[in-house]
Amino acid sequence: MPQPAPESQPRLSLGCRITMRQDVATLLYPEGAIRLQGTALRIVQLCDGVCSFQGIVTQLAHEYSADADRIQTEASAFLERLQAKRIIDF
Amino acid sequence: MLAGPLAIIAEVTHRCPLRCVYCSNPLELKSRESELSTADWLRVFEEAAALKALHVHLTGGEPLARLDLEQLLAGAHQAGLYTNLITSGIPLTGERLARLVAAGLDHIQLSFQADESELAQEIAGRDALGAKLKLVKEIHAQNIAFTANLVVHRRNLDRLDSMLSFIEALQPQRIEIAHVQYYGWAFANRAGLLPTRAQLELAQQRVAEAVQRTHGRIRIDYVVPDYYARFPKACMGGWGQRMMLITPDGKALPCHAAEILPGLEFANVRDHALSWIWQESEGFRKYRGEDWMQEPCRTCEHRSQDFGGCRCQAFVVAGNASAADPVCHLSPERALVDTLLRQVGNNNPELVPLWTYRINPS
Ligand code: SF4
Repeated sequence: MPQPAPESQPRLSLGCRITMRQDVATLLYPEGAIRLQGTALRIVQLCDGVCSFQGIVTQLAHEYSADADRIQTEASAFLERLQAKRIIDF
Repeated sequence: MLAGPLAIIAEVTHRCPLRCVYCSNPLELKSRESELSTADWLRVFEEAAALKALHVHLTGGEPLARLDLEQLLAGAHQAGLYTNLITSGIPLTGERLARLVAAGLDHIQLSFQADESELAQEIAGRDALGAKLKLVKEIHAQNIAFTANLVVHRRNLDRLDSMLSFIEALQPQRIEIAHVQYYGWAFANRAGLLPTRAQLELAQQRVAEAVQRTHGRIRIDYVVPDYYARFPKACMGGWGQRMMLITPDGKALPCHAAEILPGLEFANVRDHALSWIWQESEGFRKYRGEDWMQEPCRTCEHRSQDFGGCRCQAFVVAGNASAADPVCHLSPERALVDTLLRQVGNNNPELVPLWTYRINPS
């Protein structure tokens, strides 16, 4: 299964978007929706098609004062799952 | 507190240029004169969003037949809903598509009857494949999120391999392969549509292979066929739990076929607020939860997963809307379904069935 390469620039796929209603963030995609919070929300927000995957990891490690290797593993698995559903492209 | 509907299925019209033999619309179609106005629909979308609905599926009939579709989309989008257009693509020009996108279209679902014209025409009652292929080019040119939908049944399943390559080559983000569900016109044509067991087993294998092959490129969703299953489907995610369907003339229903159930009144959005209909109306409360259940459902360990299956199927097959879905192997009426399947096994697959084509409302 493909993992995001460090230099790849993850972005929301066509037809997927985040909506905010009453402070609840929901990721909308064809035939489905996922409620996002915490790190998951932050990761998806950083998938702007410009920032590299490496850059996202660095940013998250900084924001959460966490170990970059661990963040890298978790973010990679998360993005892989979203990619299989064609919610994130990288 | 009861959560609101997650999605609204807006059947904005029953008019349609195609005549598909598996159409899920009821046999009694609503006329153009009875259709809700633009303003009615816009109010419905706002009320739905206020109930925290997330998606609206604009369908029909053929929603493109509504000349105010752009306004409807814009209203749904402004209300904050994710908009999905479920369409045959007939007739849709690149210009109108661009207007729909500008109005707030999030996603388009385009249906295919087959990968070759003759069979597609037999199923749809009209030659539409060429026009659909042109539209796919436009969808890509305009960079629109796109699902290709393929309805499968006895008449086209033997071509599944070539249909899968065909549909993968269209490069959608998502493919939906849906076995026919036997409601409306599809119920009238059930004998010609029910697949054989051999067809079904091969289909399951082929779809699983396609899921592997397209992993990461295309998301494939597979709607399993009903009658061959051991357990029934969790119809609509539970009666009055997730979905609200609104007919062209404004009746709010828990599912596509609910109007066939005897002795049940469904409220109209012209007369009542959506929140009242969802929470209080008899139509939505009748089969919500488990209180209505009989044995074997009432004490069955699966009842919180499948909700006893489909009420409409229980009614049309077993003659009792409160019975277990007769597809269930625990249902005392399962033999009715098995008899049908045996008959299908004996049919000559070469014979073209005597189709009952869907008509257009007056
Ligand atoms: S008996 Fe009723 S609840 Fe149990 S599996 Fe069958 S339909 Fe579902």
